Amino acid sequence: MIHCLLIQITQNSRGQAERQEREISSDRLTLGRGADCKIHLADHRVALHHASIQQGDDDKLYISAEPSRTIEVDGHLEEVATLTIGMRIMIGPYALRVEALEGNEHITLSYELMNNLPDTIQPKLATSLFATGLSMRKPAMWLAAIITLIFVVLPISYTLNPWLHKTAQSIHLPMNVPLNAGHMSPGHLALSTKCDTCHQKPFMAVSDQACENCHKSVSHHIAQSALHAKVFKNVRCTTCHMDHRGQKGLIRKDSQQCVSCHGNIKKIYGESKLKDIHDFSSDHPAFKLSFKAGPDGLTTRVAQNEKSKLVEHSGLKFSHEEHFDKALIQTPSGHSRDIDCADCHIPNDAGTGFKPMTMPLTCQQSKCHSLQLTPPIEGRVVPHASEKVVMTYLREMFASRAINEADKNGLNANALEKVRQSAQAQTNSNAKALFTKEGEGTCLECHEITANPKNRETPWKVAAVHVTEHWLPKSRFPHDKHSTAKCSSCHDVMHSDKSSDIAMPTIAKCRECHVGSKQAQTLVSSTCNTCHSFHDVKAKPTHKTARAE
Amino acid sequence: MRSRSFLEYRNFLYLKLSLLLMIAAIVAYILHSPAIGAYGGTWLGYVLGTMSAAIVCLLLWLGVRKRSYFGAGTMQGWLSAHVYLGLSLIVLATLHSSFQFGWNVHTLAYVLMMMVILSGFYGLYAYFRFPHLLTENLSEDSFESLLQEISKLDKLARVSALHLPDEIIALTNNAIYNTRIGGTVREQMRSQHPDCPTTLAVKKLHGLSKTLPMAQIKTHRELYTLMLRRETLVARARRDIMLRARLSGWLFVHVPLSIALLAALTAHVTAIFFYW
Repeated sequence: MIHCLLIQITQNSRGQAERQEREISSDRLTLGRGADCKIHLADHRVALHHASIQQGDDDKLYISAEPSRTIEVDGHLEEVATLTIGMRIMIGPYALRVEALEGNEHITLSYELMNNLPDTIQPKLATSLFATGLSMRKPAMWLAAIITLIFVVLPISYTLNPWLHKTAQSIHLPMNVPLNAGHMSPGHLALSTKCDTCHQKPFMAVSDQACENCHKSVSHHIAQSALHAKVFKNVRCTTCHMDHRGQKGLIRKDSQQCVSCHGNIKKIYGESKLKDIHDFSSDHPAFKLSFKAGPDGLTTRVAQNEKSKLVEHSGLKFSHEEHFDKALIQTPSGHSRDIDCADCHIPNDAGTGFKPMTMPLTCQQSKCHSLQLTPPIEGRVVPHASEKVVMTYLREMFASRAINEADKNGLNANALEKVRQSAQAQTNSNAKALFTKEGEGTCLECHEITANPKNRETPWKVAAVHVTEHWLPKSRFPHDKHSTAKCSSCHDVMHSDKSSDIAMPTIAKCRECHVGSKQAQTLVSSTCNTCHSFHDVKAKPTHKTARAE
Repeated sequence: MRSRSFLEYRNFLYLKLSLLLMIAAIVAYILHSPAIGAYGGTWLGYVLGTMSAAIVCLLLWLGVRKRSYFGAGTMQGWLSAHVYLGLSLIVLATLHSSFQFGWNVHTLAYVLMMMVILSGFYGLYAYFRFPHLLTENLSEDSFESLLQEISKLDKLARVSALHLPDEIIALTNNAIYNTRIGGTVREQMRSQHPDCPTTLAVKKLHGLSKTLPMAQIKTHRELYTLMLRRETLVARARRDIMLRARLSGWLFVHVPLSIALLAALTAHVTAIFFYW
């Protein structure tokens, strides 16, 4: 039986220690929060049965922890310990002290609750988003700073600071690319990282000079420089040519800009003789054809509605009708054949127009036409060349033949004179036949020829030939894009028997397919740019003047 | 009489103004057909862009205006204009961009603007939905009173559990010490707390009652009732935190992105005129 003086130490409201003593006796002094424990330690941090004090065989008192429990003896975790005076044992929040004996008891124990629990033991956690440290200001400032740095400070520094520009370019880091407002046109793609090529001064619009640094040979819209400067004084290249919009923006194909002036041309230039035009389908004037209208050799522009003036003077005699008549066409082999337009009008390499028509390429392609000698000499034809060359050829050929004849018969003064006269006579008769005789194989068959008796060496003159190549030099007409149509659907030459006939289609014919700027389901939308070029003011040669060389 | 919301300010004045702007912009966009296609650099593009930038600045000014007791107009009016003019930006800025986007500062400004507007829409939804739920959840209590009530329950539970087996007191301790009310952003935002120690204690206490001697049954029942009550209070406190977090959380996106938008917009305008 163990007799124990148990002292409970508590603190009063003023914080002073109070001791309450009581005696307990038992063979085994149990300690725990359970109600059946002799030493009741009422705290949930103490086990129901935490430890017990027992007397050993050696009469000493031992304290031992219950299985899976520990006790802290003088700062050390133990399972069993011999009780000695002054010993301090911690069980949960309670401190037990072995005190000096005061009477007959075996042991004197005091205990005190050391770590009282606060009323509120909930963990201190953030109960609002602000309390978590989440901030609006910090991310706002960071985002703004990063954006300003990447999209304002660095690009502007890159543009203005040559050192930074050079350094960034050397590591392939053009800093102004993120500012690119849109797709570059294919032609300017190489400049997409070289903004300063066009944008030469900050906050200043792209100057014409910047464009002209590369585009040095662009023609004006008006041939007269002074008038051009006056009319376009407030117009910059970028008014019409805008990049960062792809190809669509760089080369405008609409009629808007054209009509803004040509819709009321007198407002722009009071002395203009041009008619107002708003759309191809509504008020586009009749086409003006450029061709030689007389023997003076001057090119004139004649509107197609002035039909009486539509007479070409090419210097040639030619009948389309005759060439399309199968019965009249005989090849050198004696067979008749069909002639196609493309037999004579051979597309050029670009496919947009035709190769120039020449005697060898066009008229002699199947040995159809040749200049014949009279009487014909096997293996010999007169070359298609100038009058002088033809005359020289005849003289040399007949002279040569006469000398060969004289060689055979023996040479004396009389014989030589006869040979010379014979050669002269043959030359003259052949020349006369070629230049003055109507019919096949003569010059007169195709050319206009006048006598020139004062010139003994070349007594005939062939009129210059003007074959019109560009009837509408202020526009373009790609034949290859119209290859689905038959030639005759636009050019009515089947019944043309004179070279003075003009078989160019009128605007009405074009309007059968082309509708102007508006969109139409079955017609082709066509703007000014479809046929005209703004910068193309250089007068193209409208015809080729051919001299028989 | 029903209180009028800021959305109905002056008989929907700003809604009408906003609709007018949007319809005018759409009609102008349809009628305007520049030859090289619509884009921000046409006259209409500049008009729409200038209007959009001005509206953005006006909307941002709400942040300044609401911190001041002085200034033109009422806060209700400002908020109404903020919502409806913000709505109109979707149309105005989109037409200004002409649906052309790329990896550049111009599209960045547009994307930021759309994100700000979308977060604003959520904010509008939050302002109309969560205050009602907050009141409903707290009833006549306050968040602090809920915590005090939980503390009281904890003290009672600690006393009740003293004479019960260690397993029960461990469950009780776990519930009292480890139940988290609030905490990280994620914890505040979520509505479900599957590993809640209080819920666990309630669940296990119910099962342990069969193993107890008769003398402890009454105490156990008391503790179980306390834990049940605790579970309810914890859920309400958490819901209060969640609703408040969801009510204010969108501002942590809306405000920083608004400032970022201002920076991007400045960069956009600067870039356009720097490289004119």
